[in-house]
Amino acid sequence: MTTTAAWWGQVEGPNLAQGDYLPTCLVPFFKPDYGTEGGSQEVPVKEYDCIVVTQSCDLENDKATLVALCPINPISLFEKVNPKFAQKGAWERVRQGRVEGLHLFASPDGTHDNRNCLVADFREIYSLPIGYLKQHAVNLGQRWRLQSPYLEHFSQAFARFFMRVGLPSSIPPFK
Amino acid sequence: MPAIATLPPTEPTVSILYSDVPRWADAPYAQGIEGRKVFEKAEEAYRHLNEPAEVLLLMPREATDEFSYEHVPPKRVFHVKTRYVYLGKGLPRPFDLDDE
Repeated sequence: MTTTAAWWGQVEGPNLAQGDYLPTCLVPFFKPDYGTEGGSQEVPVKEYDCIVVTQSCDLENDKATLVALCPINPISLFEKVNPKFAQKGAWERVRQGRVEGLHLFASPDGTHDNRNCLVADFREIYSLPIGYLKQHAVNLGQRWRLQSPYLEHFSQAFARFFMRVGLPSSIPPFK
Repeated sequence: MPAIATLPPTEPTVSILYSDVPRWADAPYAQGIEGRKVFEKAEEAYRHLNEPAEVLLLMPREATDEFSYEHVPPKRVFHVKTRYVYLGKGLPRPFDLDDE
């Protein structure tokens, strides 16, 4: 029997850990001329649902003043932006870890419907001050935290994406 | 028919490469100081010609990649008025070697 219930646990409070699902994080995007004009400036702020990628040990020991996060979205929303992912077989390739930059999670609501899965995008990494995120976590109340061993699987997927090495050229493909 | 036409063609001892640019590196080269300089310059020219071309070759492949994707746009966007408060140049954080 398969179950998605063990993927996420509920937590509350300011303590953050890798795999924490933090909806509605505000991310400022400074304009190219930010800081060059005197006084003040309008800064666009974008709202994302995010998942923490900074290692838990760094968060626990106050080694990080900034916390790294990736956006996380329901796959239905992702498909609206990327319709080709609605085609048969696309999400299966993501599930198998064969699409760089994307990682799938079971839905926190515990349903078995794959259509409720969430997808993290490793190609977008935001860094936000830990003080802001701790307060935001408190304001959220009950929230979701990814559980072991899905947490380690997520962490490894992120590490594998981040440690990629691009080569200027390669040997030709075997045919 | 002249006798020379019946002879097998002679092969040059060193292949002369005019158009096959990538194969220049296979050709023997002089071992002296000038020879090394020529080799270095040729290598530099080869890199100059070849590397930008590799980038161009990769670009269309990436653009047509079946599983390339666009980022999901933010849930909402708004603007905030910010005031600059310069706190000075950021300093390195204390790093306790014994803590590792």
